[in-house]
Amino acid sequence: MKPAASTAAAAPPSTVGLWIELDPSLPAPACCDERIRRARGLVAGLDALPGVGSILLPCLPADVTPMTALFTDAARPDRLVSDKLRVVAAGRDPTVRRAVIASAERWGDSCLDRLAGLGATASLGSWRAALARLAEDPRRRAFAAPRRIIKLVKLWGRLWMAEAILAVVRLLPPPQASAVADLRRRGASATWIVSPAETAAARRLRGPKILDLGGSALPARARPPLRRLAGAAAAVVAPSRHVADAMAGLLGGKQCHVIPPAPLPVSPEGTSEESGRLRLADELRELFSAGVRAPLHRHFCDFPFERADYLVAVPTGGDPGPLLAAFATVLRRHRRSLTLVIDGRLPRGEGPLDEVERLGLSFDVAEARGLSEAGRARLLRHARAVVVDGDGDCLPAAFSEAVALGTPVVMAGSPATRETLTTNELAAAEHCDAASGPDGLVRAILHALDHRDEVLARQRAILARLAARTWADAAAAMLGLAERE
Amino acid sequence: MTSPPTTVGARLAVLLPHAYLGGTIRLLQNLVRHLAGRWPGPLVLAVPADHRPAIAAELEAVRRDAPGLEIRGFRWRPLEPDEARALAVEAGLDVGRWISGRYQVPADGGADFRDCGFWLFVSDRLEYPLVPLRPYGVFVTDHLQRYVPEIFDATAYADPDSAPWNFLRNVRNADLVVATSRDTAADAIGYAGARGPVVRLPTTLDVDHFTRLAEAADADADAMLPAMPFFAWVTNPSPHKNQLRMLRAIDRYLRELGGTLDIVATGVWTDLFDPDLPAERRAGREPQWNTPHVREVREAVAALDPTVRRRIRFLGAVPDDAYARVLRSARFLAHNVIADNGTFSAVEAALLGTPSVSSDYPQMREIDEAFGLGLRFFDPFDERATAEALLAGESLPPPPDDVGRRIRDLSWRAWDESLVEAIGAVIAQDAREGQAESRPASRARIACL
Repeated sequence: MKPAASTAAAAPPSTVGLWIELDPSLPAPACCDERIRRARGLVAGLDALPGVGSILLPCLPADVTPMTALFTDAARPDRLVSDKLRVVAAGRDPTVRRAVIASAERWGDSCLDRLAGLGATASLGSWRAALARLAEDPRRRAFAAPRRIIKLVKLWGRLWMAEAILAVVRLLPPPQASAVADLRRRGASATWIVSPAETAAARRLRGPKILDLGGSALPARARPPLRRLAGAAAAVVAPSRHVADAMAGLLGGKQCHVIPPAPLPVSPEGTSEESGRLRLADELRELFSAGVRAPLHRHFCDFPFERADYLVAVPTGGDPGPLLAAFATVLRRHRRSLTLVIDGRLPRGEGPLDEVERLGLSFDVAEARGLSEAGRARLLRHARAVVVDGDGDCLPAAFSEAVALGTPVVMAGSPATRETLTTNELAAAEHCDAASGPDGLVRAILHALDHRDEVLARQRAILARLAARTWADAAAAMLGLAERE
Repeated sequence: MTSPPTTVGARLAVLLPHAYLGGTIRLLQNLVRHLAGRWPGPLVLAVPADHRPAIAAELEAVRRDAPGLEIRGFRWRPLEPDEARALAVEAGLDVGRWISGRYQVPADGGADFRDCGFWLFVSDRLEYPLVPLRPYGVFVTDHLQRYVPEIFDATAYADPDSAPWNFLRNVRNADLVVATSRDTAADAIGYAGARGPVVRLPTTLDVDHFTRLAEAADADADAMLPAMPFFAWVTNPSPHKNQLRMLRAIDRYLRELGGTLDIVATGVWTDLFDPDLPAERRAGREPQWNTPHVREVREAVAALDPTVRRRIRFLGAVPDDAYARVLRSARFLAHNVIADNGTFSAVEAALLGTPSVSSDYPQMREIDEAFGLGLRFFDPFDERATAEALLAGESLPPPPDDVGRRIRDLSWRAWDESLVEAIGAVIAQDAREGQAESRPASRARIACL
């Protein structure tokens, strides 16, 4: 491994591009995506570098408006965070593709919801229990069992039809490829900072590329294209040595440089405590009302969030099982009446949501994906504590954001966290280091809840030290690498 | 359609939603007695029509204390969504989203309680979402499923039309929630998501029951009690009573810690935990006998070391006088649950001079504080701590002498005006909104039903 590049780089290139591919199954970019918040930090850093003339942020036509909103300066709502930034539309409009994906997913969710209403799941093995339950129903009508079987078969067939549609859509060329082709056709050339993605389309962008592994844990589907992206990149950077080591096998022998990030900027809302909570509650209810009528949404679409205490959990892409188990223990064994609000959503697939149901937490865990930037800041600010579990890539961005907003953070002590904090800080912030398994995480959460002010004061001191490093330092180091390579 | 009464002196209906017995009936009686003395308008007591004969004596007793009381029988009328919407439109009820698969309203064969200005349900266990044709309140004893999710089948949490969902929906939409402990009040908001005000009653203690109990304890000795000194374990077959951990703790108490007392387990159906229960004594109770959890507890009892097994006696439900005798004769009472609304068994025991050990949960702490019981607490998840608490129970001092006075101070007779005022405020608010929108029967908007 090479040491981190010096910030004393050659003159930065005139145009720098940021390449972020969104998850195609999501309807729009959202501020809970850490890559986007990290990109905001990088834009701020690039803006401060005198040699950078413009910053390109290409995105699909349908994403221009929401992406622009995410990069709007909170202090100047009619301006972006940098005057050099240009959010440009490129590629085909993904609206139809996304509509098909969204419809198929809703269709599938609705089938699962209706199957659940009959006491069944997508697994054929659950049908026996569903039919047994029917037999106990005093209101059942004549021929109830054959009718129920027909209904189950129909729902099961529709569910698999929805899955088949999703599979076919995934086989079609990704819209990101058309965006790259569009940029090439327009002669857009820049030094590109590329986030890992589910496609390797970015390798065809014109200009040197820096593959930036920071931002979030890599989804499984982003791992295969990584080798090809790394092969096309002038340099690969990671936010910590831990990530660099963990990713070494996926980079095809490419060297990985460590460039630690700076704390992410946040915008305190500037409203009173009470009105802030009310606005947050309204936004959350709106979010759940607009969502799929899945059980979780149905419980929270009119929930009085303004009256309830809650923890925020920041998913890091890993298994949320230990976090859910720790929350269940905090709630039940230690009797803390709290809701767990997920900043974003739990990884999809059979596991996490089943785990929520298995632990009987259906009414205690809410997924909040799609909040505005201000809404997300309110969510963090009014939480009793923020919990980041999993093997994150560095000190989690949520740490700096939450602590800056006055909320203590509990982190599982990943190797990357230990790498970022000094020995003294780790010793002073024992509540941060909950590497001792589920019980450790439970103790850490309870400690943060019971000694909130003390924990916050210590974490603010850590944040003050980390804030000495700026995004301009990080951006200059990245561009310096591109020049050198 | 019946116009709604819109004044604070309106007719008030207190409804028993299910065929409850025991403590809930005592609560109902005392609630009605309290309201009869303070509510400025007529009072209606509604009970399930089929259940009326079973509680005839209790109804008669409460009628004697509240002479103007009208007693009605009712049935739940289930409604398909279309019917519910039509009824809501007719009543001027403003609903944002209809999200449930089935609804219900109480039907008495006449005005269906629409001649009342407020409905007060003494339990939140309403099987389907209520179409609130009148402002309503619910009495919430606890949200046990939040802490012991096993009390419902796991599939119920995935089915948005199942009981656990509907219980919460009815609390969510209630205009008033009544809770008896701080933590239940917190759960009503943080778990059920109650949008209306939450009123706390200090306790629902039935002082008359306690007086009778104290007298009953003087009855003749019960032959069921063991000759050896013992402690009483009051429990029932619900999984939240933590029987499996308690059995392991008892094993540890007797075999590792050298505990000297026998154990007498009492409570509804606790005799079904006895693997040697003769078939004729379980006649008519086969469904309960075969309940998976009861079977699991029975198997755990059967697996105990014979020396331990011999020292546990399962009495089942016993009459009040025998129960009082058990408590008075016991060295101490053991109360072990994962969570619930707190038990007055410890207060009963204290009244009879018997100390208690109890699992540590907020509602029980609150009872301990209110009655000055001096309970010895233990962690219900920790079998070793439980066993140690049982051992410590052997040498607990007797409870303080003034428990009787505290019981009188905290009985329902000491309730203040807060419940009556809260109901009056809801009715007045409803009337104001009705006038403001020129819709005589309009209600505050209900976001989801």
